[in-house]
Amino acid sequence: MVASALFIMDLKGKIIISRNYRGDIPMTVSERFATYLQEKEESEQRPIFTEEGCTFAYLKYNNLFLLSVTKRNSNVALMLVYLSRLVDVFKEYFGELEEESIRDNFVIIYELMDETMDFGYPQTTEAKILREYITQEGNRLEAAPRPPVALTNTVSWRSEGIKHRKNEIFLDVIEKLNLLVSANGTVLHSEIIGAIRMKSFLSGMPELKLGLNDKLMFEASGRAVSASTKGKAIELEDIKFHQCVRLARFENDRTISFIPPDGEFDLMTYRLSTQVKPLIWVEAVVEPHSHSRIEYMIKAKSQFKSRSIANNVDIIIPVPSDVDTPSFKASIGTVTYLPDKDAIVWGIKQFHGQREYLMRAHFGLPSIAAEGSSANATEKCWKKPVQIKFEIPYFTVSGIQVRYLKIIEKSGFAALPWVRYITCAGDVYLRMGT
Amino acid sequence: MSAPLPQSRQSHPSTLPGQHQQQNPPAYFVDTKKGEVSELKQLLKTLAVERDPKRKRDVIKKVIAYMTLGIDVSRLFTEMVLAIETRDLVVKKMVYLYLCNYAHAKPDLALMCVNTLQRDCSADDPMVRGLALRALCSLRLPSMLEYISAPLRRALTDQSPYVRKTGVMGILKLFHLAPDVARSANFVDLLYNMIQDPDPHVVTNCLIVLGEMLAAEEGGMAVNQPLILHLLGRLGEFNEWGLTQILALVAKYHPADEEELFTIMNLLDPVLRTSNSGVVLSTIKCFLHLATAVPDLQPQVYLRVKAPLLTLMAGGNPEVEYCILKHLEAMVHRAPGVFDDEYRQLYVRYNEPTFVKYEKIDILAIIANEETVGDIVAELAEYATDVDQEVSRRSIRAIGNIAFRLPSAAGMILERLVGFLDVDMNSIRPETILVMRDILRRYPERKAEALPRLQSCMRRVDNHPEAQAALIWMTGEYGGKNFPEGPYLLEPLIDSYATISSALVKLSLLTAAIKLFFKRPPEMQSMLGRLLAAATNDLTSQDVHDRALLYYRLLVADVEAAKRVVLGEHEVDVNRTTIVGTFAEERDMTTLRDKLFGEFNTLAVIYGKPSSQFVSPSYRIKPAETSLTPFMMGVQIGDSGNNGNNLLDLHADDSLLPAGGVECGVESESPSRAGSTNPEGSTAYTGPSSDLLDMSDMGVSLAVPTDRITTPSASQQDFCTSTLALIDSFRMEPETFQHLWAELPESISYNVDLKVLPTDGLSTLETSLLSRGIKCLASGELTDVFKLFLYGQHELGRLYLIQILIHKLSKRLNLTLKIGRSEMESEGDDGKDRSANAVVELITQVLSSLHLS
Repeated sequence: MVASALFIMDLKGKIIISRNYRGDIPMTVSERFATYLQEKEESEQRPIFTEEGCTFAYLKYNNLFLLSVTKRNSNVALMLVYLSRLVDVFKEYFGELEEESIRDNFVIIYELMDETMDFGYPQTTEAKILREYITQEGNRLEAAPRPPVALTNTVSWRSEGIKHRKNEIFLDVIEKLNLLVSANGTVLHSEIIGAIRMKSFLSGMPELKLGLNDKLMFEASGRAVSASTKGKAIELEDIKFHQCVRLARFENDRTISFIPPDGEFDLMTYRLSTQVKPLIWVEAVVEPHSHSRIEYMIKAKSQFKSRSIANNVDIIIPVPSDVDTPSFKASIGTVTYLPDKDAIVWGIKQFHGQREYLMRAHFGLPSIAAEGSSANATEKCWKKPVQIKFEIPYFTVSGIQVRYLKIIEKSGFAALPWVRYITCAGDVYLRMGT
Repeated sequence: MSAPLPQSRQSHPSTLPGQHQQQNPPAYFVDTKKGEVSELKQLLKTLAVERDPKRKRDVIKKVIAYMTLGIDVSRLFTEMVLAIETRDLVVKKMVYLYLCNYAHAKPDLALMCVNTLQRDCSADDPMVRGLALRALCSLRLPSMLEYISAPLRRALTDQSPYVRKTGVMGILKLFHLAPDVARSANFVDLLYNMIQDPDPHVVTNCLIVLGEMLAAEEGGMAVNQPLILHLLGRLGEFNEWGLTQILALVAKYHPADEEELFTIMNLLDPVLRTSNSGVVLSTIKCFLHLATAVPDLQPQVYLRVKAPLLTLMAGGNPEVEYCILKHLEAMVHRAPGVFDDEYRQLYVRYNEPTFVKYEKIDILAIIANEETVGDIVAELAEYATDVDQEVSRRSIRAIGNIAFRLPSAAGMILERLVGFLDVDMNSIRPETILVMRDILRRYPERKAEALPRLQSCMRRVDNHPEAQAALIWMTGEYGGKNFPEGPYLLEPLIDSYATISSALVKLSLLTAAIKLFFKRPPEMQSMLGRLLAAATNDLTSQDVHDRALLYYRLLVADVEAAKRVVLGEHEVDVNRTTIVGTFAEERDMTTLRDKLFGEFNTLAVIYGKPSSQFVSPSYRIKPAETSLTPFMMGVQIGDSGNNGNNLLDLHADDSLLPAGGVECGVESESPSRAGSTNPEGSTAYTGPSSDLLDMSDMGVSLAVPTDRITTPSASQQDFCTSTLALIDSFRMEPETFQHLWAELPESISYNVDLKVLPTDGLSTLETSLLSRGIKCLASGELTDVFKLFLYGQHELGRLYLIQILIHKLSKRLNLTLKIGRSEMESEGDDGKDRSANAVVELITQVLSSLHLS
């Protein structure tokens, strides 16, 4: 891939900051992008398009567009990945990336744009390494020259000589559940997207080895699955690792061994598309009485173990846009009507396992409504699915477990690994019956 | 002057000019801006003396802030150049940035900074050395050339890898500034040596720079075995961006033998675990490329890459997901069946951007099979009632496409579509009617299920002429015996003819009425009369008027003849639809998809067009891929008993052959490049792929068509394999073959006497031919003759149909070749002749390699 220029723009296509890497296109091409945004319907817009020999690839983030322009037939996915990596780098530096944070940090943005890409080719997009020589303060005047050490190491993600007074490492196993349930209650699609996020505060160059209840690893190490673990072993469908993990070793005997970068990073992500029953089941009965009122009866049932608790449960139920005078009755939690989103949200702070709760909602409907529009509005509302959000700590849907984390370092310090599990809702949608 | 500048600037930098504009007349605003720039100029001057680092940084920051806002601050050039003398790295970077931005506006002044930059290039701090070098090379001023070379050369041997990698990139910048200087300076050899550098970043940049410098002349770097093995051995050291560069090279490499091929694949396999979609797609491209040599491997490759692709799709942002979906679509066509069981992954999510939804819907239609069709159609039916009209339209279209492909599901789908007719939403009904029309054209026997439901719809699609026309057409076409209501469906329309505004509707009404008239004369006669009267008096559309008149005169002249003319069309039409469904359109698409596959992981896949259609020629990269890899040739030659070791040599020689020499040896019509990457039009003239190192500029080769070069036949034998580029994946149905065989003229007939008859029947011969892209449709042994029907397709779309007869008694082989031309070709008949010869030559080669002749 090679990008001729890079633009960060607001939603109207006005440049906030830009960098011309190769000088082979006029920077006025940005106007063509702005025109594209204006002229094309949103449903006609594509993240990649070519006009008069210039290819525009962009992604939308918050209220910004990040746009790269090229004249070549590039490795197209790479251009978009670079942009998303750039977003990650900016986020690492400024917390959140939005128009304001760019204006406040334009000097560093320029520096980052220059270090992550040279003459249109991506160089380093690892925020941890960039941080070593582009510091946010940047104010350390006349500081001693700091050569970018880590750029040169074979362990490019970690510099030597890191010291922590307290050696600790935190592991978060986070699973996101995506679920789609049809109106008649069949699970149409379910998948688990998992990540093991580490926060490493270890000195020196520690060697880590992570053991999971991975079925294939048990098989590889020749141990009988049933004998070695009390719990079940699980089969991870597809695993992606942070670049620090020795992939060849993993291919050989499924051992996950690595030298971690310092600080926070995603050690691995995995995906399982096993059939999962909805952890929180919602049934909605809707009784519309046209021109007078509409009534909802919502039943929510938790289908996980009674020991577990789901936190911050939000059940978001779409309603027609022209309803008025809401009234609610719920056996637990609070219900709010959000007119701007045409939805009611039933929020339950703590939802214990194996419980069932009820909520009733009642709305008035306008007695006079333009015949066609009202039918359409109601129709629209039926097409929207019920969405459910939740978090269940100390629990993973997949059953993945960290069996051990071995830490070996020359200095022989003792370090404690901390492990947490959490499952949260990704896209969980239940279609409403018509 | 000591006001806290940064604050006021940073909080509202963009609103600054805007506010002025609102408050003041424009003229005054310009003054203010000038005023502010002058103020900065003054500040810079004083500060340069003052030497207060903090304030200096603030002022320079303000200059850069103005620059970012698009205010011209080039007036400050002199002062900024002076500010470069600083030990503050941040200030240095800002000044460098400023210089790079304005140097071409002030080339003379830019020279002022050369000294400082050159001095910085030998600073103690490697960071400063690197930054200065980058700035020096990025000024893009021809006048700077003489100052760049020395520091650049020094940088290449610098002890800091940061400086080395910047230096390597500097060569590329120099190359774009002055190609000749860069070429003559021997940088290419230096870079080739630097691939051994211990630092992976330096190596990455070497690959980038070599790739680009040599792209125009040689189609990129020369790839050989030691290079590939060296890079693959160090794979673990590279970051994601470095990996893509290596993968791009591997995608051009042809392994010497099968063992090496598998070694490479095993080394690359872990790369599929990276979370960078670009890297994974590059890896897949490598796999697909490597697997071309071993066709059996291809299904395994698709299976292997399935899970990683789906994970990337689930985890990435929607833009990347879109990209992956486009590639998935390409692969789904190539590897039918592999992705079928993952259809649930493609279910549309409620909150996805539309561009992702559309792609998913399209792919769902392709991967539906007999088992999943129920689920998929039910899911698509959900989307059909979506509020987004385009989603709805596409879903209905997708359901229709499934029906075309799976005859067994047609009944169920038709039923589902009929159900849609009752849904009271604007977008659904018209689209459903259009799709139903196409399904009935494909499966006319299903009319009984659909027609009765049409009645109620006629009035409801008034505002959608296309759908109404489709309805009318169906009524006319199928409204014969088993649809007695037909005429009465048309009657109200005929009676309200004056209110119809669309010419399309009027035309189809005319046609439908006259068709029905022949089927049900008593009911239609008066109606048709009224219609013809109205239409012949219709002045709004010439076309309608003329067609009405035509029908009228036909009927007046001879009713029986008119019937033959009007209804006779019907018979032909039915035939054509069935045939169309099976091959014609699909064939064109297959050709295109093959082309696109050569450009996997590029924009070509996203747009579904070969890159030649949208990348301007000067930016095109010369293709350097072959379908007939040396390795493949090796296998064939090995089969025939030659020494396998030659293959390696052959490969090495290939890459060194001068373009001219090879070009003469080959049929210019049939370049060896698999080369689906070949830009159209130039295909016929570019040399074969083997001349990696000496490929002449595309413009030049275009100007010198090879057919004007006399072709010395001697060199033809040197080049042991014919270079006719046939498409591997092309398949032809027997009916198509028969149809074409009957239609096409004979191009060439050729006789050769064999030394021996094929001993093991025909299978060896068939396999050998298959490996050259010639496929066998049917073959058999009769009492006195062997018979083979073969076919192949050239990458430009040209079809070859071949019949071979081998008479057992006389050992005479008789070959008949017929050529079907594709629309893409623009050459005369002599191109055809040459390609005919190429095919004959290819077959004779196969024969001799099997020691038959």
